[in-house]
Amino acid sequence: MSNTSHKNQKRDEYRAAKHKAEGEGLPAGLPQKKYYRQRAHSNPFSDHQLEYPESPEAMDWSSHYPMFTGKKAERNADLHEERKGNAKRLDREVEIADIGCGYGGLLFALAPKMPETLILGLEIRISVAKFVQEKIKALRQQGNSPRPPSSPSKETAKTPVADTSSPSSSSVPGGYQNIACLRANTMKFLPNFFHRHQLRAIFLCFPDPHFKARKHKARIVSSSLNSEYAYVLRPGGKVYTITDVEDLHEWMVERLGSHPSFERVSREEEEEGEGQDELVGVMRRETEEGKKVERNGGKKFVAVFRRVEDPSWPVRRLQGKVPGNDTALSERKVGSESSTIKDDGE
Amino acid sequence: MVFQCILSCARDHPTRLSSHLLAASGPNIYTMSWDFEEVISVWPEQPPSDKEDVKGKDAVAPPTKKRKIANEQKRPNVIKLLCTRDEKNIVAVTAEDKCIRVFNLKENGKLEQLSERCMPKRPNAVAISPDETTLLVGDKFGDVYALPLLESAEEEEPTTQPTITAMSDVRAKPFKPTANPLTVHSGSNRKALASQLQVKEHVKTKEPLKFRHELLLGHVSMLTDLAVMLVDDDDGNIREYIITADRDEHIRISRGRPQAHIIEGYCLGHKQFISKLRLPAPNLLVSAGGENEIYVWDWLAGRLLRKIDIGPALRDFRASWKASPGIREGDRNEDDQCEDQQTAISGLWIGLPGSSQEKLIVTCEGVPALIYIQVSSLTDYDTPRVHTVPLLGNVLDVTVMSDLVVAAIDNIHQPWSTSALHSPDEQPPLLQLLKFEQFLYESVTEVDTGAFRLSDQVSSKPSAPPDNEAEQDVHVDRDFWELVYHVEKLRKRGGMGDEG
Ligand SMILES: C[S@@+](CC[C@H](N)C(=O)[O-])C[C@H]1O[C@@H](n2cnc3c(N)ncnc32)[C@H](O)[C@@H]1O
Repeated sequence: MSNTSHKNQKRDEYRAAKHKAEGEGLPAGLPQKKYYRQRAHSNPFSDHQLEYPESPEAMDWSSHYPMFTGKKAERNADLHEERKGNAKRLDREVEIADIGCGYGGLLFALAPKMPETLILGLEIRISVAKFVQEKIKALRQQGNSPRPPSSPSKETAKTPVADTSSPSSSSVPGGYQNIACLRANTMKFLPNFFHRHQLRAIFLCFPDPHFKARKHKARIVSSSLNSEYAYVLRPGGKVYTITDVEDLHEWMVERLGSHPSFERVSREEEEEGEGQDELVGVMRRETEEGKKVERNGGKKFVAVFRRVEDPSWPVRRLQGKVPGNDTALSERKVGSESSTIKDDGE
Repeated sequence: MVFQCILSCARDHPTRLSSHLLAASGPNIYTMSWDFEEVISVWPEQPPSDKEDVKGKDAVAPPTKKRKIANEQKRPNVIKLLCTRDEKNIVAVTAEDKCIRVFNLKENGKLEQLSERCMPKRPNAVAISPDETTLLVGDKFGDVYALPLLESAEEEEPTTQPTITAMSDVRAKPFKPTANPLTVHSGSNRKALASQLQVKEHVKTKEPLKFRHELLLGHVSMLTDLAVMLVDDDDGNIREYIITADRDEHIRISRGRPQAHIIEGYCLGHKQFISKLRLPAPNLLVSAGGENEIYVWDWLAGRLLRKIDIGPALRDFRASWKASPGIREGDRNEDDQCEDQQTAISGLWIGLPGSSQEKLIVTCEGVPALIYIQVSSLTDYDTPRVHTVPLLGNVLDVTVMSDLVVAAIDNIHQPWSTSALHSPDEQPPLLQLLKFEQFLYESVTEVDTGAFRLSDQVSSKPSAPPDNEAEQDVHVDRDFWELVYHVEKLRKRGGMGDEG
C-alpha cells in the first residue's frame, strides 16, 4: 500500500512539475508513460464522472483541433442553425475514431499519413487518455519550436513516433494538429460525440478480451453496439478490428459479420500491400498492443467490415390492417392509437 | 397498504361503464368495478380467511393470516400493468422474478393467467406493439426484446427473417479457455488465463429462454421507458418506430421491426436520467426524468422544440401548501428541500385523450399533486402554463379513463415526504378520482376533487385484503419503499469508480 501511495506521490509531483514548466512557457517534454499507467480495466457499466457533450452539436472541438478553426469554419457555423453556445467551429469534422485507443500508437502513426483528416482517440481510462493528450501537446509544440528538445527519457525513445518518423516533428506532415484524444466511455456515449453517418472509419484495436463468459457483455463488439457503430459510420465506411485472441476475433467476425448493417470485406482487402487499404497496414503495425504481440511472437487476427446502405423501409400501407381500426385512419388517429398503447406502458 | 400501480382498462372508452380498474398492491392485483364501489376480484385468488382449517398445500394462497404475510414477502411485486385496447388482455410485470404475465380479463373481473415468461433481466419498460401482436420489453441492462403477446400453438415455425435471427443472442459456445501463453501479454490477461485454467467446469451458461423472443436492440444503460409509434410517411405508407430512453440521458429512435437494428437518430439534451416518454401526437414527443424541465421534441428530426420548467409551479404550490392552515408542524419541518432541488418526474400521461382539450399530466415522486399542461400549448409560441392540482398524499401512479383521472395515493408517508410516516389516525384514501371538465379551458376549477373523492372504503370491503391488524404489522421496509419510490434513485451519485 505504501508502495502505491509512494508511486502516486511521485506521479503527482511529476505532473505538477510538468504543469509548472508549461505554465512558465517552457516547451513541453514528451510525457513518460510510467506516470500515466492505470489498472487495465475500467468498468464500462459504472457511472464514471465522465465529461461528455450533451449532443454532438454541443461539442466544442476547437480546443482539440485549434489549427482547424478558421474563416471557413465560421461560415459553416452560420449555416448551422443548431449551433449551441458560441464555441468556435471547425472547418471539418472528425472522420476517424480509434475506440479504446490506449496509449495512442495508432493515432501518432496515422497523423502524418493523413494530415488533412481529423482523427480522434477515445479512451475510458483517465490517466491513459491524459497521457495521449500530453503527448499530442508536446509533439505539437516541438513542431512549432525551431529546435526541438531532445527526448527526455528512454521511454519516449520507444514510442512509435520515434520509431516511425524523424525525431523532429516539425518535419512531420500536419505536425500532429489533426489528432486528439478524449476520455470517454464509448459503450455508452458514442452518439454524444458523433452524429449520424459522420465517420468513415472506426478502429477497434486489441479490445479487452474479457475472457469469462459472464464478462462478455463488456466486450466492445456486440449486436447492439454494432448498431451504434453503423449509426455513426457513413455507408461505405469501415470498422477495422485486430486482436491476438482468436476467440475474440471469431466473436467479432460473428457479431459484425452477421449484423445486417455490415459485410466483411474480401480477405485481400485485409492484407497489406500495393493498392490495398493503407489503414490496414498501419493498424497491423503501429498500436502498442500490436507491438507487444509482435515482440512475444504472437499471432494477429485482422477483420474489416464495410457499413452497407440501409435498406428501404418495409412497405406497410395505411389502408392495411391496423388492428383496432377498421375505419380509414387519419394521421391524427394513427397517433392517438399508438399513444394509447403508451398510456398502458405505465 | 397502498396501490403502487393502477390501470384503467378503457381510458378512451366513451361510456366507461364497461371498464374495470385494476390496482396492484404488493404482489396482488385487485379488480374493481368502474364506480370503485367494490373489489370484485383478486389475483392470485385468495380463499376466504374463515376457512382456516383448510391445510394449505397451495403456496399461492395460504390459509392463515400469518402464513399469508410470510408468503406475501416472497411473492413478486407487481411493478407494471398494461392492457390491450379491447380490454381483453392484461399484462403484468413483476419485479423479483422478472416475469411478464399475460392474463385474460373475464367479464366478472377475474384474471385468468395465460402465460408467464421470465426474462433474463428485470423488465423496466414494456409496450404493446400497435398491431397488438407483440410485447416489447426493455430491461434493466438496456436490451429490448420482442415477445409474442399471446403464445401461439406450440411448434409454429418462427416467422423471423434471417437478418433478425442473426440479431438475437447467439448461444454461448461450450466453454474452452481461449487465452494461451502466447496471446497473453499483459498482467491482467495472465491472471485471466490462470483463473480460466483453474475453473475446470465453467459455471453454467445462462439457460436459454424457453419461449419465443427476439433481441431487437440494446443500450449499454438501464432502459427506463419505451414507445412504439406509427408515422405516416406521406406516400400512404406507415413506418413503425421504436423510441427508447435510458438512464444515461439518451433517447434513441430506431426503426420498428424487422429493421430495429437501424438507428435513425437520437434526441439528446437531457442532463439527467430520463424516466418517461409520452407522445401526445404522432410527431410530438415529451420526455422527462431527473430534472424540473420537461422536454418537447420534434423527435423525427431529433430536434428539441422547447423545455418547460415545472420548478416554479412546484415551488409556488409547495409554499401555498405549507402556508395553508391545518398543516401540522411535522409536515412543515419535514426535510425542507433547498430551493433549486431537482425533482424526479415519475409519470407523464394524457388526460382527456382524443379531445381538443388534451392535457399532459405530470407527476413527481414524493409530491402530492397532479401537474398538468394543455397539450395544445406545448407547441405554442407562448410559454405554456403549468397548473397544479393538490392531492391528499404523494401520488404513486395515475391512470386515465376518458375525462376522469385516477391517482393512487401514498397513504403511508406524509405529503412531500418519502420518509416521514402518517400518524395512524390520519389516513388519506388509497385512490383519488379527479375530473377534467371538457369545456373549461385553462381553469383550475375544471378539476373537481371533492365530488369524486374516494374514501378508503376500498380497503374496508370484505373481499379486500390485509385488514387493519395485518396492516399495523407492516413496517415500511426497504423493498416496499423501493417499490413505490424508485425514480429518484436513478440519479447518478457521481464519483463512483472514477479511477478504477
Ligand atoms: C488492450 S487496450 C488496446 C489499446 C490500443 N488500441 C492498442 O491496440 O494498443 C484496450 C483499451 O480499450 C480501452 N477501453 C475499454 N473499454 C472502453 C470503453 N468502453 N470506452 C473507451 N475505451 C475503452 C481500455 O481502457 C484499453 O486502454
